Amino acid sequence: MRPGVWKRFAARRRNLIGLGLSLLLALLALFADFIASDRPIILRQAGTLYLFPNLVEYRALRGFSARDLGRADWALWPPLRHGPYTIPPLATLEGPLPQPPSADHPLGTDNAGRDTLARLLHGTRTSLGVGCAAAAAQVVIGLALGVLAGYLGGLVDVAVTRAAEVLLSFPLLLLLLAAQGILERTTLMSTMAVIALTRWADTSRLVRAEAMRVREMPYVEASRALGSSRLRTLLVHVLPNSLSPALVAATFGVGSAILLESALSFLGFGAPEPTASWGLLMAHGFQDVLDPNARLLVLLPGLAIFLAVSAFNVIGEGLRDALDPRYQGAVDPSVFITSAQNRALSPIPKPDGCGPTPAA
Amino acid sequence: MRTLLLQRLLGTIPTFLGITFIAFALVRAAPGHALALEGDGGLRQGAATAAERREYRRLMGLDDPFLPGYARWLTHVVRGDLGDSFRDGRPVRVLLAEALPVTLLLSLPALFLGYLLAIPIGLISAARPGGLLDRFLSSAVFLLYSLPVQWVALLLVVAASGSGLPIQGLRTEGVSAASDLFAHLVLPIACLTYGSLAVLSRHLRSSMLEVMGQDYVRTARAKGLSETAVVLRHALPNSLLSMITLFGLTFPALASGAVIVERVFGLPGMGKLTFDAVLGRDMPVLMGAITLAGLMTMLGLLVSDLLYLAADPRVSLRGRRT
Repeated sequence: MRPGVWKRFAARRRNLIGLGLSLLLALLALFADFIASDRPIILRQAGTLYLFPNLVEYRALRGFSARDLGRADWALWPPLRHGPYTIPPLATLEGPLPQPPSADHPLGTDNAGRDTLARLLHGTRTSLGVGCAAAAAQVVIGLALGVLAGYLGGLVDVAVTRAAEVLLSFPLLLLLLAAQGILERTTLMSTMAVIALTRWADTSRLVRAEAMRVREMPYVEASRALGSSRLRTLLVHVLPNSLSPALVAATFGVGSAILLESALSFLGFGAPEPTASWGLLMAHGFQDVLDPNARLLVLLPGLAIFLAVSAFNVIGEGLRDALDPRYQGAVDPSVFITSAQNRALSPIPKPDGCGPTPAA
Repeated sequence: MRTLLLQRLLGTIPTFLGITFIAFALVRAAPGHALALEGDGGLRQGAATAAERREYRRLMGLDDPFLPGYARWLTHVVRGDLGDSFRDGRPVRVLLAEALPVTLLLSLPALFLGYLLAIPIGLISAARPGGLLDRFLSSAVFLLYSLPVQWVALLLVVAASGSGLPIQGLRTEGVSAASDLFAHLVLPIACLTYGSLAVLSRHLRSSMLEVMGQDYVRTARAKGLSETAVVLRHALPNSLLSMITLFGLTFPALASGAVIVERVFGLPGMGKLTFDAVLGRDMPVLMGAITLAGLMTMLGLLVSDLLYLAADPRVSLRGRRT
């Protein structure tokens, strides 16, 4: 990483807010079991000390409930004593489902009686997990193909560019839906895989352009002149210098993968029941959309998705500006003249890169 | 100019092959043949029997080795023969012809509105780049990117549930007035518009800023034109020129959004057709829908390229040189 990138990145408050928000979400995702679980964090029962029953399934504790605690026993509970999957026995239910917020369920329940707050918290894990994994996979594929296409040119370039063009010309959600639909059943893994397999084209386009630029650099020529093989030149010089667009694409990729996962789950072809997923939660809200008690099921997951995606998009944009030295002193209007290059790197809109431009 | 046109047209052939290839590969890769064959379709009236499904697989080359099978399927597709739906036995072509207009009815107005709303935003931003209003508008538009469509759609449904605005379907039963259709379309179109607005206004802004730095703008200023005239008569038309290419690229995004919007609002468009085909494992319809979606996008790209070619004489010159 070039020096000064962090300085330029941190110079904008917006970037720091985005970074903070995404770190917070990551912490929530990591420690969801310590915030919301129906099993204690530490439990002493019948003379045995159990560490982290909320993480580990102890055989002795199967069917354990808070009422089993004897006088000498004690437990350290997470702040919210509901897990994302606990469905209360029918007999204990009062009133129709979904329930409105109450002391026991701060944000109410979904229409199976599961605690909404617990499902939201654990949904962070699903969304961020699928988002990051899909983004990482798509960037690895896109980076490899893009560098090869940009550096080797010729037939490889034509094949990769064509494939990317075909993928980008499908309405993404239709393609994903079809891909998930032909599977016997969808899992988080398959959701991640289909997102990565359809989204690499974005990264490969950006990386290809960068690799083509890098290829013409004097240091690449020097490396060739010194007798390095093509492979060595590719791995040691071209690849590392083509990384920055991939980094930006990865960040934007997390945001878009979160959106896609939630859309697929909402349609019923993403995260399988009973996974705690923001998209699934909204699907539950959709079932009873006219029931006022179900409104939180629509409102909150959507807000969570919006915040998470915004955070990653803000970071992505900040990162792009910071990595691109042309952006120094960004308010000077003359820098906007380079916005043609800027657009080639921009995330969602693709005016000149993706589509076959008229001149091509 | 003509060679360029020809070049561009020939260039769509590999894309067409790629699109159909993906459609074929997807459906062929569908596991659980037995399940897909028997399904629950036998319970419905007019649904395909197992024998008919087997016949379809044979005819369409799904049981052949991959490449010969693909070639066989392709010859059917080129002739417009996509088979019959497993679900109700109607030709896929007819189903697609019914669904496509609904999706176009949603996405074309959304696209148009997106362009219409993007222009004032682009103008304001370009008038004082870096100013308070510009910063506010660009951030607001940037945040639009992060809004999940299903959220916006559901919030609109909740918001409209008290009012008289219809939230389901395309028409009220027995009413055929255009105003009724319009009332049904307001919310879905609103849902799709914000997405295209996000893409378009961001682009118009950067394109305006780029144009404002050009020599001809300086010339226009130098000859004493007012700033309004410079922006409206010189900068805006030239920025809009580059926006033409976005027409074809916004289209796939709109079609994606339509899947969710049609599901939430119960509209019988391409999205719903695909969704139902996936649910019912209706392979002929699924294959047809994917192929058509890909083709529509390809067509959109082609049209926007041709428009650009017609609007900007420099393009053909550049084309000849290369």
